[in-house]
Amino acid sequence: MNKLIFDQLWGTYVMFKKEFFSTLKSVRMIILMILFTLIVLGTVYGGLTLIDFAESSPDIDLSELMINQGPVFILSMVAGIVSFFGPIIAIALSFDTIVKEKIQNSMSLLICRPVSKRSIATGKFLGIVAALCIPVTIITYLAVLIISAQSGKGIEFGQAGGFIFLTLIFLIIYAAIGQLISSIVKTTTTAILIGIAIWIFLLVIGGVIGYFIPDFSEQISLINPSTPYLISISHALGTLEETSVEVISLGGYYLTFVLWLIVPLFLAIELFNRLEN
Amino acid sequence: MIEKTLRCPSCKNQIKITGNPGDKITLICPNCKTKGAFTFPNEDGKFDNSYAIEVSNITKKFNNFTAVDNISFSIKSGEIFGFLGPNGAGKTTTIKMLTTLLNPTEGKLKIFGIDLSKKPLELKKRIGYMPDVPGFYNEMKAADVMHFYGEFYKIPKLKRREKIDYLLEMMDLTSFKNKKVKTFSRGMKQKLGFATALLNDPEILILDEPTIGLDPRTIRFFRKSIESLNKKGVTIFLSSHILSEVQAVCTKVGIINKGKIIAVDTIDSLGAMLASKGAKIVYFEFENITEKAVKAVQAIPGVISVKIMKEKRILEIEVDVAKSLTPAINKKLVENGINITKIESKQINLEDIFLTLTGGGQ
Repeated sequence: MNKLIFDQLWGTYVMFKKEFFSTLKSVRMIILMILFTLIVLGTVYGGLTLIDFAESSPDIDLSELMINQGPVFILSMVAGIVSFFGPIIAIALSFDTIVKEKIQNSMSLLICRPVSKRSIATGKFLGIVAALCIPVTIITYLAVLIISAQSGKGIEFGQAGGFIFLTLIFLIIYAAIGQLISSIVKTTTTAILIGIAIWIFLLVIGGVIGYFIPDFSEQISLINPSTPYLISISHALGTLEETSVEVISLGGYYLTFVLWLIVPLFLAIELFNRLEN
Repeated sequence: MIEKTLRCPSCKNQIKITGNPGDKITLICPNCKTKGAFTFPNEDGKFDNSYAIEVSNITKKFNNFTAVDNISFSIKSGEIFGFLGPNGAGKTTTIKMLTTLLNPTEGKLKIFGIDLSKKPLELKKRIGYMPDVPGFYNEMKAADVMHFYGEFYKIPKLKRREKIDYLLEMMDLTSFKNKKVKTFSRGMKQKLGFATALLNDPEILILDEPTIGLDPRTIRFFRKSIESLNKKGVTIFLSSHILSEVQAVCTKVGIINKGKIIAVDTIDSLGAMLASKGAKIVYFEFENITEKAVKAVQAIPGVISVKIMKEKRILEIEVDVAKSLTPAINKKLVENGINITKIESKQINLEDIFLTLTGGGQ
């Protein structure tokens, strides 16, 4: 039994290594990370400009809020932008991880090796996640440093760590959704189209349904992983208002966030294991 | 009777068993209740694990379509088994099940006597597989592709490097070692696929149409390689459309048609079976032939079919093998004023067997 587990882990490791390096070195990764950098640092710049503006603003309330919250306010802005653009970046990295193998007919040469399909799917997922996490951590940490330096107010380690960690989890959720799509479809075009459709659907649907059923708008908003992400970010940054967690508790949001990670990942691995190539 | 003391793999408890040579027994450890099986060695002291591949009542269905229908055959260790069948007969589906790419809907597959569904990882270490169109990661270099696949077998890096160098040298790809696979021709990709199939020094090598679309030189290379590997004890499972190739290298053939196995035997035995059942072909060559003469030949009892070939200069006559009809046909043609220049009887080859059994000759 131990040997079997070792064999499974070994297969996962080999797959992870291959996927990690090939993703990290890919042109697509470089382009996406440049975009992510521009989005994050652009938002940071915008936030810093807003604070400068607030200091000279006649609106005392707004001015106080921005100056008091300072760096945390900018991080919240970054999280808001990431919740919009982040999903498409993560999906763009993982949408073809499985389907590409089917198309280039390399899957048969892979499955005939002493490796299980679960190990292949897990290794691929971990490889993409690792390749995604390294630059995202660097970029978000850089954003934290810039905000701290420019605003003249330090960001607590817990706040910065929480912000980076939750942002990574949010992106990993969409990487799992991308891999799930990749496990089911037969062409890369279908995969990317479904990925975009899911991105738009999740962004819009919660708001639309919530508009028509206002009594359950909080519950319905959980359809979009951005909601638990932004709530947990507010919690980590210490800006969470009590009214935000009146209907659904903070634990409920965290649980939803974890479920958003586990369910697509589980489905991606199991469907790949069950579907025949 | 032989008495044997075994040690339980789980609790290390010693168990004494008795049986006759070749007996297969199932046993339960009295201490930890672990179930197991044991085969007593034959009288010569060897274990009877001579079957490399055993396919028992395998069926594969895709929704309502049955691609492979209750097939059974076995291949002994060290054999070169040719797997033949027309397009869509179920060859690739069978191969995909043998390599765990597909799971059988019903039936059992055994490799070296072990159920493939129970120990797939262990058994895949002993199998090399080359698909009909090997697909690679086009952005990777040939050597990197080999290293990637080789790592699954836990071959130490240094040994793996030596092995890869050796295989690339064998495949005449050394100068392309650091070239991206996307720059490779089809033949080079086939060779690289063959090299990756040999990375783990397989005991069974499964080749699905290895020479399809290749030039004669590469085909010859593949044939030589197959023969040389077989001499080293590797069991070869060769699926091919090229019947001459199968006839040249295979010790045994299996013919599959419409998902069913219609024959499994040596080529000689199949030929003999076909000959005893049916027909042989006789060719008569002449300057020209008349309609009347053809009709006269057709009327001879035992003549199955008559075909006029090469602008009325050759008659291909299929005759009942049980009857010696050549003199009668000869006489009939002479009576009709035909000046025969040559009579030739054709030996039954694999193509005849294949076409007859699959209905392709109709």
